[in-house]
Amino acid sequence: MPDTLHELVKAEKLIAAASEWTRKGRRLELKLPLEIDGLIEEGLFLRASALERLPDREVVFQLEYHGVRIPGEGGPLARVEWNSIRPHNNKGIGPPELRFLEQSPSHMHLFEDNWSDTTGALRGDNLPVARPVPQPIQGFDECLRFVGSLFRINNITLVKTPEWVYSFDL
Amino acid sequence: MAETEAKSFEEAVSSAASMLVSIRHEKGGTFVTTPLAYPSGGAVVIWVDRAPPHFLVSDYSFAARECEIMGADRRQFMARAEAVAMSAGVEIASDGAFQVQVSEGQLVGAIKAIANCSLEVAINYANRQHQRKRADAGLMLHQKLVRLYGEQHVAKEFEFRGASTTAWSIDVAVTNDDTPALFDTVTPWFPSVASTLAKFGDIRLLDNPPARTAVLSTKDGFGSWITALAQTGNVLQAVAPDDAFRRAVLH
Repeated sequence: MPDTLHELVKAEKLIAAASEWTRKGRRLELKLPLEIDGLIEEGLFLRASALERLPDREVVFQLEYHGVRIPGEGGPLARVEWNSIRPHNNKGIGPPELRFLEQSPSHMHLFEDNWSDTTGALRGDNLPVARPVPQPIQGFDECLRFVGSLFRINNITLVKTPEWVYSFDL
Repeated sequence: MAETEAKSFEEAVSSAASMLVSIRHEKGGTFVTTPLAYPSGGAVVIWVDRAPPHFLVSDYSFAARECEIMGADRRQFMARAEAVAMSAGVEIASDGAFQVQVSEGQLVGAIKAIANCSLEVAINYANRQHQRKRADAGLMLHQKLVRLYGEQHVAKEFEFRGASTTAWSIDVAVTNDDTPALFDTVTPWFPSVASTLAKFGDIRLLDNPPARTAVLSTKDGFGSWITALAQTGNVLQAVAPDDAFRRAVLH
């Protein structure tokens, strides 16, 4: 059983129960419980978000922990933003080579980039440090595989493609 | 730092300024990327929809999503968003988008207003998260002290009077001795720091003050506030080893 957030991120996981995307206005949302070694860990979720009328754009996957068993600032642990229409900027923090640079369209907020060994906690402000994905992601299925590999979720393909609305007008 | 081609100072600044705002035209409207950034680092992007002869300006509920991924539920978001929208004279759509319908002449001001509403509510919720982490640190602290000293010797929200005779509420106290050891959790937020300073500053003026320890949710973001806290008591991180807490009790 993982006893630290780092171990939690590194642990092999499974989606415990798949469910449909939920429409919230313009957004499509998904929140799935995750299990590790047969136990559904309290507060550990895969969250996903997409925009109904922007197929294959602005898709977010996030690994998050809201339990109290493991110390060190729960909340978002890692995030992938695929084909985001909103450029990301690390401001003046994080790896020096990535400071003040616009990252667009796809980037990932790694646990390691946002963790401080000095403080024993994640940085505040919702994983503010990101880096570009290693190579362009072509399509939702490839995005799923990338997220599954990064978050160590072995049955990530249980996540269905969002029910995007394909139309000529937004 | 990325290498860029050599330009004159004016050219470099002009070039940077010209890239602060960008637009992406879609069939139904236009996304405007602003220079503002949410606490997460993502740019604030505004959507301008066609509503002839007017323009419908919204944040496409991006702030709602920023808050959701930080852990906010709809009620927590709406409570903050409604206040922000009211003060700016704009509306909240059912999906949590800030929006307002305006004429062409009002478009610039509306985009600025919606962008700032979107940013304000996200910052507001991020600040709330800092406060919640104090509660988390308090829970962690209590669990740790119970493990070390047993439930019967650990009290939550312990009342203790300082030299001024003010009865202060201390987050956690270990009471296995005649004199309790006091622990107060602190987040890197001015009111939290000021509260602990006031309590411990008053208590340390007693003739035989008890051990006082400020327990930090993290060490990030405190700066010289740690120095101020160290002037009134011990300072520990919530994740410090057991032995550090034992020493704090004996201090």
